[in-house]
Amino acid sequence: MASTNGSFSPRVAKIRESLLHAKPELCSERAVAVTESYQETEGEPLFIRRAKALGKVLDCLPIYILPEELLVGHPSRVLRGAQVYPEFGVRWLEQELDTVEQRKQDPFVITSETKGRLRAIIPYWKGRTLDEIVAEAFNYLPQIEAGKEAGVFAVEQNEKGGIGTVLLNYPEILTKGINGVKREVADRLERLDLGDPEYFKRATFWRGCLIVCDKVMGLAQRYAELAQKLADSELNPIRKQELETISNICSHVPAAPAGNFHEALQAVWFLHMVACLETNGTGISLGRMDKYLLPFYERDIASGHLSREEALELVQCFLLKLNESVKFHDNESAVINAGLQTFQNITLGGVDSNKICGSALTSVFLDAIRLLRLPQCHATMLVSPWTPKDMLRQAIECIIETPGQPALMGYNAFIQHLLSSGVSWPEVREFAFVGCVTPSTYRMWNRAGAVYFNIAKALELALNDGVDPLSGKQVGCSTGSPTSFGTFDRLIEAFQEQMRIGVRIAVAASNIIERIHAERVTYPFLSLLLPDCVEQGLDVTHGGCRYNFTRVMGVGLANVANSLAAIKKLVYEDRRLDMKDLLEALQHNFEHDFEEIRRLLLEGAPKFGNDNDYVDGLAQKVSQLFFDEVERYTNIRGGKFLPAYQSLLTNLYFGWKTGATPDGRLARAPLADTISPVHGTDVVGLTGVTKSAAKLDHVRSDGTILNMKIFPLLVFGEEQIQAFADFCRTYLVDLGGSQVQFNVVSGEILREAQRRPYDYLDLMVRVTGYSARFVELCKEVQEDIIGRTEHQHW
Amino acid sequence: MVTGLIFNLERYAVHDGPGIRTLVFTKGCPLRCIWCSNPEGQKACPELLLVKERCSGCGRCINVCPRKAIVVLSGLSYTDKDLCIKCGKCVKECPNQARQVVGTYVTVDWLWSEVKKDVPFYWRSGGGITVGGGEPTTQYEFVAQLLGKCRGMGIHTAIETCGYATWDAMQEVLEHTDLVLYDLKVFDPSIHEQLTGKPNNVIHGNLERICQANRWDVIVRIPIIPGYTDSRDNLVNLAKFVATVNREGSVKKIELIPYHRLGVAKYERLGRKYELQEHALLTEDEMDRFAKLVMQYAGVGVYCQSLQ
Ligand code: SF4
Ligand code: SF4
Repeated sequence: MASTNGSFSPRVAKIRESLLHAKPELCSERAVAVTESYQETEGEPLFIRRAKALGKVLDCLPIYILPEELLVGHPSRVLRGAQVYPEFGVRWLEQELDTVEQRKQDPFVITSETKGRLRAIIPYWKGRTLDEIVAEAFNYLPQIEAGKEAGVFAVEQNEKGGIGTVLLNYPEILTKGINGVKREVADRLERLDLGDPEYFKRATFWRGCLIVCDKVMGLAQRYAELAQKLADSELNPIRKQELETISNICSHVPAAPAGNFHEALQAVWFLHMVACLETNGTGISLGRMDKYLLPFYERDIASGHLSREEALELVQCFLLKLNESVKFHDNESAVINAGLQTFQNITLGGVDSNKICGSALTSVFLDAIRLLRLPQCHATMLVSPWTPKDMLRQAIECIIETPGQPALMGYNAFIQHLLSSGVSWPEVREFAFVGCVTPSTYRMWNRAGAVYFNIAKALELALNDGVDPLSGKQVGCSTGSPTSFGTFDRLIEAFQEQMRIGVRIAVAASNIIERIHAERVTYPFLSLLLPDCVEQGLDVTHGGCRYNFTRVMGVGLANVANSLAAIKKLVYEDRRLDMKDLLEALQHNFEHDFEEIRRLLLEGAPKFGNDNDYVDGLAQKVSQLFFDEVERYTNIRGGKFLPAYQSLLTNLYFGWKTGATPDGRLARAPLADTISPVHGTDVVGLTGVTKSAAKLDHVRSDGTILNMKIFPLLVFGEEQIQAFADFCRTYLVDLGGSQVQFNVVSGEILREAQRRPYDYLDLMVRVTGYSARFVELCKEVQEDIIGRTEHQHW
Repeated sequence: MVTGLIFNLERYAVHDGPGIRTLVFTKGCPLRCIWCSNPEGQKACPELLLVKERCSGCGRCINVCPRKAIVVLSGLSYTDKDLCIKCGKCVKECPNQARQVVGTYVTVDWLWSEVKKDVPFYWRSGGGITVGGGEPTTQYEFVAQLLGKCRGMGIHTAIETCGYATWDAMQEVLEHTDLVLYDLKVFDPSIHEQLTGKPNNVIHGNLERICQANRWDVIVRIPIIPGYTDSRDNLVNLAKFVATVNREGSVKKIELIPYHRLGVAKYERLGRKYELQEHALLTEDEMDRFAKLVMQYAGVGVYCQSLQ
């Protein structure tokens, strides 16, 4: 297997090194510029104000070029600097400014000047931020606060700094240049009918777009001048040449169409950086780069202006840029979004006409990702019936070495899902992913991070007549005492009722947020890169796109399926357990006398993830009920609410707010993530997990994540790697799975398994002639294996 | 319907035959190799196993044992093997999962219902079922039925055998087998007997007959046990032997399996002694050298199933 040593160019190695050593730091440039602009534009139309605010940010952005850079442009004055987006909220900022350096999860460096500047702007924003206005609006509906507090759902988690999960039409700018798009906008403005009832709205929207166009080109121009200045004083002739090239490129793109591969990457970076300065949302994504950069690559290769190595270096420089963006979360969200993850998705291996999958660039990107081993981009790779063996295999090798990237996506499941959601053919073929696992197109905005829903809480409420046992408050509706249910079906009905009311409140909250968002904060630049918005003269938050979805993500499915299986079997079928005793045991968190009952629940009923039809059937049932409840609703942009399974770390957050559950889970312990089995309960191996997972409806779901742990020794050796590739293909192509991502087990995880063996019962060690669960091995053998695992260069 | 005694069933096995496979471990083996890493596969009956680290000495198992086979001494439970009838009552009672019964009687139908679950994966990867153990030919009727059923459904079948069986038993199983993983350990018959409890003439004879028939693909496997099987003489002789019997080309390759200690803990849990002395783990270089040596004389490809 290729080792990472010596495979970078010295340039890439250096930038990578400085990134790895850079500490995340909080910056104030953006916040100050936005505040000043807002103060200057008080009273002007919203779209104009937003455009001017972004314009000011770009004008004030400190610019610099590092000695090794081929691609230029920094989103803040330091590497890994995080800008602040005060228009979305300052309450938490005010409270947390002094603690942000010391906090446990994702601490940030902050200088005293920055702190002073941020403090100075806070008073202006009091009462004007989205956060406060939404909070005010929620007062009209106390159920929202109650539901949030009890952990029935979480809203606005992903929007504390703006919207995200959007696929921007960078390729259009590559062919038209900003000037081209600007001309189109100007033309529309000119032709706008005075009699149009929405004249004002459209006119101000397009005017805003024009302002932004100029400012983006202005930023590139500043870089062109800086590069020229540096070139003039540069003594090293090679670097001088490079700087002159950079200067040329920046004076050219993104204003004009890109002329070559280097220009195209620089243009995309400028656009992407500006998008990230406009909104701090997660999942602003890059789409199918191996498709839209291909013409440039092929032309340059054919003309001899570019070699594969040079292209690889440029792509690596680009990926390094993506790692410069850091997201600053408030303390609570930092725990959910741990690791500063920004989910800037790049989709590889998409399918085009004639069943061509990916391109020559797919392998360049995979190589770049494999060698860099950095958290960004968030790479996803489509696996279709036509994906060539070699391409999948290269992706698998990348997964093993990075470890974990790219995530593998089932082409068929997503195509069917998009078609059934109303996205038309052939446009559907152009889809790419945004964020983790949300399929999107340039004509779509899916508010994919809108609502997380705690399915386990719905069951808990059904078992407690609507009362949240941890707080004692009535959070759900009254569905009666479970001791009076008599039949399992009656329990399911109560569960469904609790889910219905919970989802309904969450939907109300989501729609309130959307409405206020559209009224207070709009996105001229993002909208400029969405063709429908430009055409209609309508901001993305106002429903400018053709397809408008909002997503509700279910969390805790496996816990609920296991709980229901335990109740059905032990209480209603085998009658080994009394409902009354069960409820009492849950109330007491299985302590003291109730340990027996916990054992019975853990051992006496089947668990999801083992290809067992009894419990998998219940998972199907729960999933279907969840889908039914979500799909009832429409958002303010006229689009549907879509269900999905994606949890990030909300499974920890919700777990903390959920009492003991009948699957034997203790109060406040984490819930199962996405559709993954409860930790340690999937004991029949990889195929069992995927078989269970595949029984769920992956077509109705707007993305279904399956997390799996794999042991490095399992995928060591030629035949073993091939078997693993075949395994992935079986899940994604033959069984219709939508996504799978791998956590390659590290020495660190094994140490954790030694400490908490019961959470890691599923960890298999497989070597020739012997296979065992890791936690079953005696200490010295475990140590031996940890030694081996750490020995490998993953 | 015939039942068989198995001690494990493993899905997604990728080291014992091509593709993704389901491994069935039969219980019972005529050999007693002193390095055996699956000692729970040796005896042809269920066995009770105690994981000492987990036993808290609480004594709950004592009360449920119908044979009064258990005592607790200074915080640890002990079982009188002669009294114990492997009823499993103590296993259920133990709060710490310190007790296990290894070995379950199963029917061919039940096994088939498990094996068929992974058909899509076999189909994609060219995998199938491998019956090992233990020694599958000790339960030839059962194994033959199982493999016959699988093969009838178009699934690739393999056995892993130590080769110590009557030709009749062997033949019955082979009738439904596509691939034979055949273990060779020591060439010298008396040393073989010393280390495994049985001479190797039957084993060698069976391999010869299998090769002569030229109906099966064969992979020969040699465990490399430092100080026991890794002498130059032994490896060269085994390689030459393979070369002589492999006239028809049935043997596709030889796999060298490096010794590992992963099975050590099991001896203790079974209440048995591990006879093999401690040895440093084999290095990749050493394995490479062995592979080259064997290749020189065997006339087929040699691969190391490396741990790293
Ligand atoms: S084996 Fe289990 S039940 Fe028996 S003494 Fe030990 S811990 Fe207690
Ligand atoms: S298996 Fe049955 S007989 Fe044997 S020790 Fe346990 S309880 Fe007693």
